[in-house]
Amino acid sequence: MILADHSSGYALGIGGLVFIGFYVLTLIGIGWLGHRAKKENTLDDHYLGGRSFGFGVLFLTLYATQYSGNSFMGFVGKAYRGGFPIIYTVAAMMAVIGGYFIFAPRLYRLSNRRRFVTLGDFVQDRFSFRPLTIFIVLLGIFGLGNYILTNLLALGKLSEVVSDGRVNFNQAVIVLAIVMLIYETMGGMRSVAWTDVTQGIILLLSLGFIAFALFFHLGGPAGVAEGLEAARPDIWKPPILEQKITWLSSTLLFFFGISMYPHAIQRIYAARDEKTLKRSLQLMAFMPLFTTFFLVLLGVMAISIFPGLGKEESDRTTLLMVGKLVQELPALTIMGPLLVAAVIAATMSTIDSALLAISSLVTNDLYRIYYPEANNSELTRVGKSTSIIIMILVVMLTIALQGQTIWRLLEIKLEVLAQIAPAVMLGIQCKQVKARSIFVGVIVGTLIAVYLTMGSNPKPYGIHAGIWGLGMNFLTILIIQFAMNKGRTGTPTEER
Amino acid sequence: MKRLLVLLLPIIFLFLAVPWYFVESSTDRLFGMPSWFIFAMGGSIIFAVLMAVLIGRYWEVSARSEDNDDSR
Repeated sequence: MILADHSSGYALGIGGLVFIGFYVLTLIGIGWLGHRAKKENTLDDHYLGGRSFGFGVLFLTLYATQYSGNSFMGFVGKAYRGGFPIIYTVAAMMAVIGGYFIFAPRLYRLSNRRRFVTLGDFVQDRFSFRPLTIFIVLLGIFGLGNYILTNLLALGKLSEVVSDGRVNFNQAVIVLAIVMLIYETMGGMRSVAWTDVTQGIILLLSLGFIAFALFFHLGGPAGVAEGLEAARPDIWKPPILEQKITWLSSTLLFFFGISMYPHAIQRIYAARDEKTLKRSLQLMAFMPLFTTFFLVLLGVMAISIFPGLGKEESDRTTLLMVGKLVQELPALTIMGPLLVAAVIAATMSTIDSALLAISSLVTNDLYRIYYPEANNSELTRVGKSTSIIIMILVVMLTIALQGQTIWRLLEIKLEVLAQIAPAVMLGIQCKQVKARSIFVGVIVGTLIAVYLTMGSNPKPYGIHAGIWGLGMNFLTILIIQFAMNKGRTGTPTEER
Repeated sequence: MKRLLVLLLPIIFLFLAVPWYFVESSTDRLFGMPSWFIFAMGGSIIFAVLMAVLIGRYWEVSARSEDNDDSR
């Protein structure tokens, strides 16, 4: 059976497509197993897998969720275009763990004691100010919705390319969305996490293949240095000052933005115990060295092998390189379809986790306000219906909006999510901080971030719109806190 | 004060890990790669170790375990 057609550099053959199809069907089987393992019909069980994740599951679900299809395709394309300076993404992905370190230890304890299910539960418990909770939940839904849309778009385009047009964009998006819905509604977080385990293992196997091929077959960057120097002499120079500022700004955006993903926060709640969470986060700190680093090298080394690719073509650098490597190393032919499966896996694991998180935010933080008497079984039913409705909406939007300029709006994810950071980080670490200052701060920060992102220069002085917004967010909180405490003496009576 | 330092240490380190000290004229190579690239990689490796140590040894500091458990 033909596994791949190298004439175009990346298209899969019938054998490869069958392999991918088998893999996708396996996910439904895993979802069914998750359904069978379900212990009770509660929000805790549906959205947090009964808070029972041990080290292996927790680590792999955190890993598969943090690395999306964008890491495999986007980082590599970016490294192809930007060269060595894109190495900042390694530190940026590690910075996320720095963000977790500020709030995860205490948040885990609080979540266990007070049975938090969502990010909104913490915000409401800490600040007891419903408008703030709703605003933060809406920001979370907006960020996650954008995340799903952009990943579905990427999934559709990827499927079209690797199938050489045999599967079109709409078919791929609809079929994969149905598969995700089936396993997610069957077993909730447990099914999603178990499929993440499979997806995480495939990601790691594929990265092993990439690392092996880059260093042992191509000789690492030193092996292609001559070609690199001839094709792009500019990338050898150190970044200029503005690039260095953007480097730091990107790292901070990841630090404050990615750590605020509601689905990542739910994984913190889902840990079986504190030791499990601690060990998973410790190992996660090293994962960019085995993931992002090799992907950046793949992109950089591709410059000497495929010089002169345009913007759109360079986004397919991963597939071009895999096509070439598999062609030169026939013993590794199976790794081509495996890598395509890895990219699909990374994308699906991100979409399903984000979908489950939106469903939980809508059910737990919005529906429950209006129907406080709703029992667990009703809430679980509402959660599942929400997942279905959101997925249908997102699929329709993805199909309708391809190629529209509105996608620019959808790129605003981290810029907005980073504005949640003060509420969570200060809320956890600073007893004195009050709801009103946080509320005004998050509004000011969000407005600035969105305004700058939509403007003509989204990075004034090399700093991201989200970081400008976050700076103003913190400053607003500081000023309001100062004004509220001015002239006050004695111990505050209302410390939370 | 100790808590603030422990919590801000990752941000301080991320700031230091940017290759500020390499200027445009430097074209030194190490292992076939630009020296500032190796510096950035070295910084990332040290940052990963730092995070593992902070999480392992200062977890209680971040968890504010010295505070009353019921306070938020």
